[in-house]
Amino acid sequence: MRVLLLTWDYPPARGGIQIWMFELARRLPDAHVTVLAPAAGDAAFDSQSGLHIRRLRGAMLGPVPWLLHLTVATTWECLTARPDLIVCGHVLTAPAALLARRVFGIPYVVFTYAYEIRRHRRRHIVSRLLRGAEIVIACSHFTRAAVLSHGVAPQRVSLLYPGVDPERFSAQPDGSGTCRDGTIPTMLSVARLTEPYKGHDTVIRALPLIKAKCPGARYVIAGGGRLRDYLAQVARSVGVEDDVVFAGEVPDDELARLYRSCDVLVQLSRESASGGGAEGFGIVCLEAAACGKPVVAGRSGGLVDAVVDGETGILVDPVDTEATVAAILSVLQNPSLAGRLGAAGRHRVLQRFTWEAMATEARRLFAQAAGQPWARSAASSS
Amino acid sequence: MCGICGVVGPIDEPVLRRMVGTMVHRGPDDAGQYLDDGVGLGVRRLSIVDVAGGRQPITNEDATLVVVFNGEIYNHRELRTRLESHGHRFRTRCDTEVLVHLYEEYGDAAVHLLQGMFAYALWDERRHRLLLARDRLGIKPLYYTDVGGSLLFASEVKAFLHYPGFRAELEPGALDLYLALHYVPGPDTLFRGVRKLPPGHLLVAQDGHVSVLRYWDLVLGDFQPGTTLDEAAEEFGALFRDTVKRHLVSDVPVGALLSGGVDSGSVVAMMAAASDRPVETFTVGFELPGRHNELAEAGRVARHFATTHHELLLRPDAAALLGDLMWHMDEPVADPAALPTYLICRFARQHVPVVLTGEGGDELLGGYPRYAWFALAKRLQRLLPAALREGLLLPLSRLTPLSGRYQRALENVLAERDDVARHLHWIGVFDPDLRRTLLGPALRGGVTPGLAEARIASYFGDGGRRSADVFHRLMALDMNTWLVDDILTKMDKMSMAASVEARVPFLDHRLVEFVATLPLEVKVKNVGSKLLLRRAMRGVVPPATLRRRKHAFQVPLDAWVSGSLRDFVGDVLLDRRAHERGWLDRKRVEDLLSTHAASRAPRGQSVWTLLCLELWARAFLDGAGHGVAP
Repeated sequence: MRVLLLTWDYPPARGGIQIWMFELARRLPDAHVTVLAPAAGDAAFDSQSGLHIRRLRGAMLGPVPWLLHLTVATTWECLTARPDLIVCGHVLTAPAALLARRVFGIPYVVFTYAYEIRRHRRRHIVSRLLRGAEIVIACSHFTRAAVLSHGVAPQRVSLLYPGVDPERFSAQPDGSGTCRDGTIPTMLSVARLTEPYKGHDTVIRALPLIKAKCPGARYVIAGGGRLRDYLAQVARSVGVEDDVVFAGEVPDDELARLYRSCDVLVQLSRESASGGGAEGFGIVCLEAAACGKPVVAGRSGGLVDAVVDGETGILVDPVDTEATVAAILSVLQNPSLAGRLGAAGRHRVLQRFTWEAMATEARRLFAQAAGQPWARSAASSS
Repeated sequence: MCGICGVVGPIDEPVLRRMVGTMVHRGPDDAGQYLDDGVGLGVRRLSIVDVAGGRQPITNEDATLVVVFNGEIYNHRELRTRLESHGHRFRTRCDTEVLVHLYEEYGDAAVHLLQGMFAYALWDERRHRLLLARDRLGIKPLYYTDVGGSLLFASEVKAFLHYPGFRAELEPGALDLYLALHYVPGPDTLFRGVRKLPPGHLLVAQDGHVSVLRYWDLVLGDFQPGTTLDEAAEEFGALFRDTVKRHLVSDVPVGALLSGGVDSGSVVAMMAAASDRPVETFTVGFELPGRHNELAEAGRVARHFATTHHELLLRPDAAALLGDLMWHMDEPVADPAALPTYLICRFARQHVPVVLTGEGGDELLGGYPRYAWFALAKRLQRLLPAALREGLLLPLSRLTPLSGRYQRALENVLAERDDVARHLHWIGVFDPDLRRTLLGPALRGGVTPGLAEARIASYFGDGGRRSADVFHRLMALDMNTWLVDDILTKMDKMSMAASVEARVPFLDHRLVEFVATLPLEVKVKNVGSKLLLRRAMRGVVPPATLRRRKHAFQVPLDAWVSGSLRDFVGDVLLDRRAHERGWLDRKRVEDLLSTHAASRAPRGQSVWTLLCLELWARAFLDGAGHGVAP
């Protein structure tokens, strides 16, 4: 079976979808995956990965020229390599797949997350692209519901969770030492600072209350983006500018250390009433859990799948300051609870959220979509 | 709603009772006090929530914390549930009681959890420590002063008059602010030694030491780029609906003041949606010529939402009322809208003790056209040389057949001015030269003109702390000065004078925080049009109301001053008492009155500003007000 993967998000660009697509491509070695991705990569990275990657130029000019380039390249691949299945890493790349299906009869599947299918703008186009897919892959129950609202038949919507590398994100220090400095109670958020719905502002506004009961507590914000100035102003406006640490963009190899250095990961994403902003899944919750850390997360979007309330973390109404404060304090002030939640979180990751588990399920879905028995035989032979 | 006061220092029962007694209009239902060695807290209560059980002062379980409270906590039920789950035991259903338990839990930081309007004083008996807090936007007032080492605080300055050793005197420096702006921006007041606790601030008094610190500030900026008007309107609509619903928390009937404009119309729409009984709405119309009567527009909104509508047509007698109103106002706020505000509140009080109003909608939604004029002026200043603007365009503009108001606007756009001068030209009363010459013998030399300019300059030239955008600077400036010390002071004092609690849902801090971060083109698209509100209310509020521009409770000031009030104004401003005070140069005042009478350049606002000042001086400095107060 031949799979053609169309993705706008791919390493070395950073982000959850980027890692997911990379892990997907490299864990289907018998699927002859060809990746069409933007030309943001470097040749060294691609040659190391051992995958067949075609880098398409045009992304510098914005999505539209790149998508035109992608459409041409997809058509060429269909003519020359005749893939059995086209996989769209994002609904953005689905127009090329829809064309290929119309012209060559090649089925496609689409990965879906949150914002791109919830927003009002161009909703009718998104609906057509989703309904044209053989299978729509949703990263959480929340996303699944959003896909169904587009009129996609329920049997065509499948759940597929992302995974975590439990060796890279491990509870034990990796020998290089931790940066856990003394006993400063530390909250951590990891996210690009580009979307207001991520809820950093709620945590900052809760900080004076947390400090009142847990003196010295600090909030480390990892990630860069245009909202940094806003968050710094919010911190100043409530008098906690000295207690918020902007760690900026953290390199991949530093990230695990950062997780280990915190007491709790806080991910208070909310569902904005408009514009579609929401957390599709919240992979950082799994990364922190893999490092043995408890998570306090908003009861919103896909976070409900990423965190089991009372077992691996605490879910709260993400716009309720008091509930947030109480949840964070219960973890900061109760190390045994924190340890229990963290251990259960790591256990859950090992059980259900490895990349292998993701790849096995993806393999089954792809086979189903392509109408080929390949997956079963491949799985039994492996 | 209530009036609170207190002393950290020597205090006895009769004095405290007299202090509280000055604010009986703020709380006609009940009175209470707490006295201990070296501390006294007093309160007058207008019973709204837990009418029977909510007597103040309220204490914690072991009576080591005492609180007196003025305002309304809209999320008190949620907070109470949480506190009970943490093991706190409540004795009342009153919102005041959450304050002591929140303090036990979170200390001074508890204020961050409060949603609503408030001014409260919390005495921590074990630590001998007083905490004062004022809400984020400054909806409720709180004054404080030092008398011989004692700290005094109160909802209204008049409570201080009964404390031995307090003398009501003019603060000459603040007079410069008043003459420039027609109100005194905080923390100053026109009383020597009396200060306002600024919005979003706490005051802590312990061991003879007083510290004031900020706990909240408005974050204004374009922090949600890409948000479309439709998206913002949808989110705003949901938030606004929830906000108004929360503002209906009450054990007594809640009504609404309806002006016929889009702000109050939207509030009534949300009330009607949240309530299963008809909303009680109130409108006052004035028997005056011109566009000063909104009865028809308000009636249309009332019919649309099937409210129980009350309307009253009257002819305000400013001369008879204004003295009383200045006593109630505490500080002179020369906003003529005080008069209709008081009258409509008095009218509403016959039916309901609580009303929702549309106040703050203009400031929240960037509704002032002068912002756009200001931006235009800045652009012209960059594009065209000063010589061209001042030498050619400005003289040309004077030849246009425009009315005085537009002439003034055009001049302000074309003239070469700095930001401060341009802003003051729009909203100011007396310019610096006039202020200097206006001062009488008693103050000449004692006042440094330019205080107002310096205060305003801090908002324009604040080294990048505030948003670079001129709109954001102007909005921040208005929110921190004009909104607090004119609009909200007027609303609080005039409603309380009629013993009515006024609630202002547009100034809910969550709503303000949301709107403040929207892209500028969404916030102030077509400045003055409040497009965000109009889009959110489309299909809810009648289209004819959505199309209307705001004309709420406007008063024909120029006509009054030169017409029916002419004799009254002359009597007051040229009176012997005013002369003996020596604050103003009599000749200049006479000139002003005759210039206005000649009507070539009406100076109604200037005259009104001086009139309010003199009536205030009579009420507070000459002691005339004591007889006026109930």
